[in-house]
Amino acid sequence: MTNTKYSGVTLLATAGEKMTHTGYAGAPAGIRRAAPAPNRPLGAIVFAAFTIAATSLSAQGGVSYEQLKAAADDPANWLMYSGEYNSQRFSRLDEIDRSNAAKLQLRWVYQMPTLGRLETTPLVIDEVMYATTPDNVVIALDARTGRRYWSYSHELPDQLALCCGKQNRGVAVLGDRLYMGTIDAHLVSLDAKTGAPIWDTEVGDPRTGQSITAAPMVVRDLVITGIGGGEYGIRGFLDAYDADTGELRWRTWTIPGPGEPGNETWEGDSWKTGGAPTWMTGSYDPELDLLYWGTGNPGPDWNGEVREGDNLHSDSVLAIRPDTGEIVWTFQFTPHDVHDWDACQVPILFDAEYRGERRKLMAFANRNAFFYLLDRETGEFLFAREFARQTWAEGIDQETGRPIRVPNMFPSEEGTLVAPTIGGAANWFSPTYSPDTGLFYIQAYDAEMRYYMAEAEYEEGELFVGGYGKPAGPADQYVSAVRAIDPLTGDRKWQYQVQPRSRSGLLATKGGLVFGGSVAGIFYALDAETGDELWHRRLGGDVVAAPISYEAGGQQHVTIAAGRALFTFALPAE
Amino acid sequence: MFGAPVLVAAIALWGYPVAAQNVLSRALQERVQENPHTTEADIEAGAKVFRRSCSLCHGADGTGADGPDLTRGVFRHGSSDAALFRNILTGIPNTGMGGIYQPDRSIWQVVSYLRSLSRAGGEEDLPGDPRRGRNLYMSRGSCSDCHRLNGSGGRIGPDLSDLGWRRAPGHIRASITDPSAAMDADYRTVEVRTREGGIVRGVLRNEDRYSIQLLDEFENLRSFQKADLAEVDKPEESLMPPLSSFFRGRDLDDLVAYLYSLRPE
Repeated sequence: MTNTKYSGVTLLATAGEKMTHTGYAGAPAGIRRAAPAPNRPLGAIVFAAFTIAATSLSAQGGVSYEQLKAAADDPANWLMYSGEYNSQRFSRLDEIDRSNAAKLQLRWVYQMPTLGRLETTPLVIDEVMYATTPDNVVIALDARTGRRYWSYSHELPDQLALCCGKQNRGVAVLGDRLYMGTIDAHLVSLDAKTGAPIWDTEVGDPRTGQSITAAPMVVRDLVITGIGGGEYGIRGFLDAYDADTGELRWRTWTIPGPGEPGNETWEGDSWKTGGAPTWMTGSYDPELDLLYWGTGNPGPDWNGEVREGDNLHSDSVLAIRPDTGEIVWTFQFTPHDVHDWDACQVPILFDAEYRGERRKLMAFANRNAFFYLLDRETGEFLFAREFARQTWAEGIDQETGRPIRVPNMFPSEEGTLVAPTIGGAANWFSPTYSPDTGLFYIQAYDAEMRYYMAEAEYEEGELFVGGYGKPAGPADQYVSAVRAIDPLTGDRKWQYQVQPRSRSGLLATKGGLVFGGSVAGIFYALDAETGDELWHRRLGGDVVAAPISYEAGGQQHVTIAAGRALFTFALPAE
Repeated sequence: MFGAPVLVAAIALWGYPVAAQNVLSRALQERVQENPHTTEADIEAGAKVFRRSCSLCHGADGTGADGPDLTRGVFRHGSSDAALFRNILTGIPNTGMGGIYQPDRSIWQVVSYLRSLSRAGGEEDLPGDPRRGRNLYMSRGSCSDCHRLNGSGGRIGPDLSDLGWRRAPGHIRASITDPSAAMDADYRTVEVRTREGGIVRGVLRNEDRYSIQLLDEFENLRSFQKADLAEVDKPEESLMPPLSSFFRGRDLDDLVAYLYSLRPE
């Protein structure tokens, strides 16, 4: 593991004062100065005003950890991948609401320099937006106009082993630095003002199939990142790096090693190539001081014969102590998965009264078509209920949380028809939760697929999947819908059907709206209570990313990435 | 035995097929690694391409302008034939260097021309003492109020961490004594006056008919609607004052030697 440092400075991070855009119009008038008088110290006379101003006002600079924790109080900014640590992806801005959503207007479009398809969730900090391309370009834009301030391009090696193409889903911020994981498995730190690289650390080896596509998460002075590569027989882990220096603080393997509890759930040496990657961003509860991170499929994906056992901790959610990496509890959704149903969903944390008791809860709508409610303090399984069509389980044992499998649903030589598909009833695209409606919103897909098993022999850097899947019919033959679910019962309140299908993330807002998109390039606003469509626009590019909302120029904006461009909407200016 | 895995694309991430991603890089790898066009005639032909496509940034004689000095025989982004070929063809990320789209032969000829420059040029022997220059940089100049060096210092002037790679000594010297003579295109001075009378100065980041973006002197990224501004001024004068009266003679030599020595691996 190498760590290239571009800088020896410590973080300017926590400087507090934020400048408003009108707050210093009368700033000292002296940077383009006359030549200094000879024989006098230059700094003393020429730079004095500038230096004093720069340090005492501390510029736009710096998103402190305290601010990240209090993101709910700062709805003008979008400070992390899922908006807040609880990952509710709920905007507390309410200027755009049910009564006026129909009037939303396009404010700007920014064409990103990429041939790929955007999956980025931009961050917005003091009216500066930071967005990424699938090939690890970061661009800083004016959030009001979409005009560019700077761009940074991570240099990628010629050869990459990627199951599913180049992807990137965004950056994290701390102080005046940004953090990005790259598809060649590096973690880089950039100066948020200029895009200059500060450090670059190798997290993994891209030649073995390791890559990073998710946005990192910052907790205190740590940058937490997972790793992708579940189709290449990697052994998954979660890492924490020093935000200042880029040095590794801890690594927690998702698959226990020999002698550790859970290693016996892998046949022979299969744990070494067992996958269980951590390719999506998790959530965090600052009060309990626990990170929650989903893990991906066991490898090889569709041939379970070479890895008999439950295959812990694949397809699980792990609760982890951020300072040490210690695993506090785990819950596995799909023991011995043979359908590639990663637990790659973003866990949504919320508190509510459940069966007469106030509890700290986690809602998890899994790729395997079941919605789970867990107690996030203890990991206790509370209930699970189908939220999309499935044929693989009689149900979930309501005591243990284990699925009761339907026999003969494993992939086979001749193909086995199973719902949901490989892509799942849900996938990485973010769900959302509105504390106002108390509803959980998810993009659900009712399709089925033929699953085939093949031989699987591990070879470093080669796909290690042991089979494949074929669609059983055209995508639009099945229902794809935004579903509103009562997270305390699993009851479906409404659904909004999307044709031909949707795999976008969702955003709920204080204005009583839910925003989402479709593969047909349609971006829509729904009534969060009823699911009625209030507005839509055709953006001409697959909407796979998740929307965000922020305030700029005193107005609420909504941004979505579609195809290769960012689109930003707001109400007509007064 | 079960046939080819046909649906790789549908696996975990619902992404793109694997095939297309490395087309360009594979094509590059298959190309020749050593320069097959090295005759005198090739060098001459390369010089012509260079004057047409490269001299705007690298100077007519390759000693650098906005772009780096190419006469040293050592190149920051790789000195092998293959590295030079690749960087000329595809450009270098995060720099002003774009690729030039010409037949392989022309690019190899440019490589030959660059080699001929380094035979003639090479490293410049400077009179100054870089260690003493470093002290001057740190103390007398207050340079770091505006310039960044290895991650610390200001941002309103160009980052100097790798200045020695980018600039010839003569250029560095001129930038100290007369900064406005050859301003870095990324650090144009801009000054806007709002309708309320406030004045904001900084370096220009972007501009169009309706809006303007800048990094202000307090290092804020800022954007203005022109409708909200009374005036936009872009003086052809650097924010950096001329320092000829502060650094002269030996001091200037030392400072130049120090800045020229900033060449991280």
